[in-house]
Amino acid sequence: MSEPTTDIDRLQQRLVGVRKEVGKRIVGQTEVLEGLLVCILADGNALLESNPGLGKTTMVRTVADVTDLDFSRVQNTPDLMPSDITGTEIIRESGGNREFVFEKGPIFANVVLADEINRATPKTQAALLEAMQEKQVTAAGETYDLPRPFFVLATQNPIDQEGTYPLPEAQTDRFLIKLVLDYPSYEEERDIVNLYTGGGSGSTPPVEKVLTREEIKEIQSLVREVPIADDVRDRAIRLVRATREAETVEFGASPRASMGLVLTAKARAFMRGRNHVSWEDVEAMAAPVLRHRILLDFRAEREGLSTDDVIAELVDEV
Amino acid sequence: MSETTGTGDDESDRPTEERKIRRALTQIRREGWKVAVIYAVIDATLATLVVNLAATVAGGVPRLPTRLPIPRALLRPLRETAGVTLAEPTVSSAAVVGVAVGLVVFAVDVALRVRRPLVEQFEAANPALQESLRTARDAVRADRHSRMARRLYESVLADLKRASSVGLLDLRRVAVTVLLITAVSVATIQVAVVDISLAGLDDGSDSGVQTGGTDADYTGLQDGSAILGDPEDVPEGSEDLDATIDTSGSGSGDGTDAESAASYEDSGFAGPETVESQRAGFTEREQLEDAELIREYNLRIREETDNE
Repeated sequence: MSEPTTDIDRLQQRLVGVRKEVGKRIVGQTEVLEGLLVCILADGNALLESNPGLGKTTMVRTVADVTDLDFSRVQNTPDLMPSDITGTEIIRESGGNREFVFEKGPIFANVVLADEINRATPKTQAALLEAMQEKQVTAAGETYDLPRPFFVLATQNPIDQEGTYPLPEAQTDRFLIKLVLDYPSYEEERDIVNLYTGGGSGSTPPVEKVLTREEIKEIQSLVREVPIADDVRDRAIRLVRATREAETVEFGASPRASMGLVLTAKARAFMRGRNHVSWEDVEAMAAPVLRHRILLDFRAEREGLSTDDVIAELVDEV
Repeated sequence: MSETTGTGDDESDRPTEERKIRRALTQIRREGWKVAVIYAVIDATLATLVVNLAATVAGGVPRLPTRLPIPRALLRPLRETAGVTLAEPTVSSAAVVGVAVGLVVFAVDVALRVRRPLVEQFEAANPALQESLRTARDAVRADRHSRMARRLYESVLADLKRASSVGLLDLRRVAVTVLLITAVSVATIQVAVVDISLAGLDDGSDSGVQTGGTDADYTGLQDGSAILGDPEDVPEGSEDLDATIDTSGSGSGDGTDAESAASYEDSGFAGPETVESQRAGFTEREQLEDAELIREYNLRIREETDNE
């Protein structure tokens, strides 16, 4: 077997190791963890919707720990300014001289957890989203590249709607996927309680670093090379286009969704050790990629259909 | 075929795996052709036999004579190679129509079966390979040489070694068709032996004239019973005759055997009553050639008797 193939095998094994290590701290939530890793491998950003206390910060921090990535957290509030996130120039004295130096904000990390992004003002949201999109920050006429790999996980709280600034559809489109965390099952919750209230030091269980940032960049490059059959690709595009024509959908997904769907399907296929994209990958990634990009019609709401229900119907139709 | 097998570039410039995939795809298409031909051959054979049987039972093909002459040009190779010469070569019109229908069925069958891309048929027969092979096929067509594409080619080639094109062949269908062919063949032989014909059933006036559908112009082997009549037992003679042998002039009875035999021939036979000859009976077991021989000998004996 040739050397590149062995290399790919090794990287795919590392990804298995990542999931195993994260599993030491996170009980259940396998789909969310998979979505999170898919998003990292596809070099995208994720929007996470969950109620408080479901372990999203622990999950993201653990992923950063096992992947040798820098982690930072931004707690969004209405008084948060863009410069609080991106950084600002400050005057620094050294050797009797004063000079402006750029003090990097928390966005200069590999993994950024932007908690409750809908609490920040639209201006701050726009600055964060622009940084996500451009992978760079401009301050005082200077452009600073963000570290690579760069991954933002923004969370939204669906319960508390007071004093929030919901992200407009155009902004949410910048997130590659939207993950929804649900409450764990009884058994999972029991395991969580046992894990974090049991004996030992009482702190979070230790994990090993199993993937370097260089390897992540290598994987990101390989993911884009994963071959996809023409008919699978065309079907994925038809699925996205169907959201624009469906009666129950008021606003459909953009071509960015088509790209996102194919890319995440490739990342999922790679993570599962496959050399090609299967329709199963597209099906699995359809809801995470499309659910925040479409706006349902009143007819769907009248019939009690959720966004995921409509997407599932469209998947069956195409 | 709607598929392309290559872009026409120099094959030696391509990575080994990609070349192998191209060769594998060519091999798969070849297997598809083989399967299409197998189906077409058995279908065509069945169609030929059924049409031949139907035409034979119906007493011939409408608007065609019972037998058609074979063009001499077709027989020339037979004469030149094997030295076989046929006086008036003919062939049954039912067989000719059957073969013609069989050829049409063959052509239509093959055309229908290769209309769907052969590689897709192979993929359908091997579901485990379906997505990977299709992806590899598209990747080869798009000339992709990435690391993941090469890895896919390697994996597909390994899977192809374990795959089989037997799935392309519906063995149950083939078995049923072969059974039908056997049944129709047996029926065809039976019809030829029993000489069933439905021709003229609607016209009662002809039925008394036509004997078993035999053509009056036919000069080949014929039914011996029909020509010679029913077999009958030859009656055994019941009259006792007294014969007197004249021994005068040929020595006494104490001569040698040779002398006795010569005296018998010279003496002749004279009975008190005349024995009337009877017509020789015919038994079915005797062959035609024997009858001819007996007849010839009889004629010779009569000639000799007349000469005496």
